[in-house]
Amino acid sequence: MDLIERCKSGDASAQRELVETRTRQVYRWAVLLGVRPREAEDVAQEVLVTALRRIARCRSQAVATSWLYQITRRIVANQRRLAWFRRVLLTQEPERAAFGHVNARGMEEELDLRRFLDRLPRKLVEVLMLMEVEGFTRDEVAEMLQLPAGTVASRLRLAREAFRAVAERAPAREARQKLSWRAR
Amino acid sequence: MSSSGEHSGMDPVERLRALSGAAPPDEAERRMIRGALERADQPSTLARPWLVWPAVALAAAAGLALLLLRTPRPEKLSPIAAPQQQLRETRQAPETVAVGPHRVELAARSRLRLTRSDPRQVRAVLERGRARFAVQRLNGGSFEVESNGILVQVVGTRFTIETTADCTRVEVSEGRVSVSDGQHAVLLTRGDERLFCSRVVSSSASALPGEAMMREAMTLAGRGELAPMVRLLESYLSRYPGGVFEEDALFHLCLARARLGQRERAAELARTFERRFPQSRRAERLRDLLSEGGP
Repeated sequence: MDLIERCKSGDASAQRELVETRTRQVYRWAVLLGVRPREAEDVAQEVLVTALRRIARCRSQAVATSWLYQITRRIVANQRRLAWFRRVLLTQEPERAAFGHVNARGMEEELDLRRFLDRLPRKLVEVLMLMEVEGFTRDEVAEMLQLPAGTVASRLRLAREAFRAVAERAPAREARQKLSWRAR
Repeated sequence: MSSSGEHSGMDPVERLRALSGAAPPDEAERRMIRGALERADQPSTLARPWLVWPAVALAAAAGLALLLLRTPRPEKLSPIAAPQQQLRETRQAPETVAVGPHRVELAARSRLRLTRSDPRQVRAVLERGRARFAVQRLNGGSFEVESNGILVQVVGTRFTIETTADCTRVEVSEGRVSVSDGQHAVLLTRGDERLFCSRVVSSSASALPGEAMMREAMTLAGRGELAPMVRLLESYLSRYPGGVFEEDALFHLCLARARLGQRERAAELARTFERRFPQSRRAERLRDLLSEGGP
């Protein structure tokens, strides 16, 4: 039996394995879709809990990733509505890196890339993220987003152009940093 | 114009691809896994709808109250060093200095030069002696100390750096720091103490540090000495669980076992690799290699 079948049969170790092997991926999807790191942890938990509770609806192991992504999309959309509400109420949190890095440059690069993604329309971010970062094929992405393959291809082309344009327009990191002396 | 000096000329989409396989910090990942498994065991709140609408009403009322009461907070800048205080040098007595919210305990006969300081980006050079750093939460900023060509980049911690003519000792009391020589980076965690002399990395312990172990393992692989390579990789994985080279070590260990004809061990390692690094393209390569009958 594959992992999904074992989960459906109530195998607790299979359910644990599903959670352990998918947490990073779901978290990464949430972050790249614009969710802040702290909320992305909640989103990832919510996605995995939902997946376990509704495992009977997953048709097979072959479509598990697509099914998980669709759950993630819905929960991210809900979270973004709530996040707007929170921004109205609360002071904005300082930016922080979502992923583990071994040096500060890695952190800065991640923050830059996420800022660029934030400037793109959501439908372009999805295709860019799924194909360029996650490595899915056009047909796989078409299945995940329930779109024709041709639409995925044209969105990818537009997404790449838009991403490059945003990145090129951003000021150089060195120019953004400045010595700021309180004593002045 | 590119957004970053270091990535000038690199296609932004290529830069984005580098996030492939990016993972949350270990502690965050553990929290998510633990939380998901605990919650999955509990009945859904939607199974008790009588809880939901009162909760929504309460949350809305609380939110409205918060909106009415909350006033904007002005950004608070912590005191930082003024331009004329960029260089701190101690003579007979130690001294504690503030750099923004961070604290530096400078030992006697030591010299620290601040080359950059604003509320979020701090860079200093330890030119002589010893300094102990207590770095506050960075929230996306950076705190870097350079000494003898070694760069220590902080990820929120307490650590000590001591420099002599050719070497720099780094000791981490709390948290993590990354130490690089411009080509390789080593992550030191609480309790680690290492000596860096020019480009040679040595350790206060008798065993080789992680990075040197990996380099040695690759050298052994190049010479076809698979058995000692396997021993060294297993030693690394045992000594540095979750270390920065864990993925490389596990991957090469699996290949080496397969090459040595230990197919069952190799298959087990491949399964472990896939569990630990499900998004790595190497997982697929290991599956293909083992299904084809080995590398």
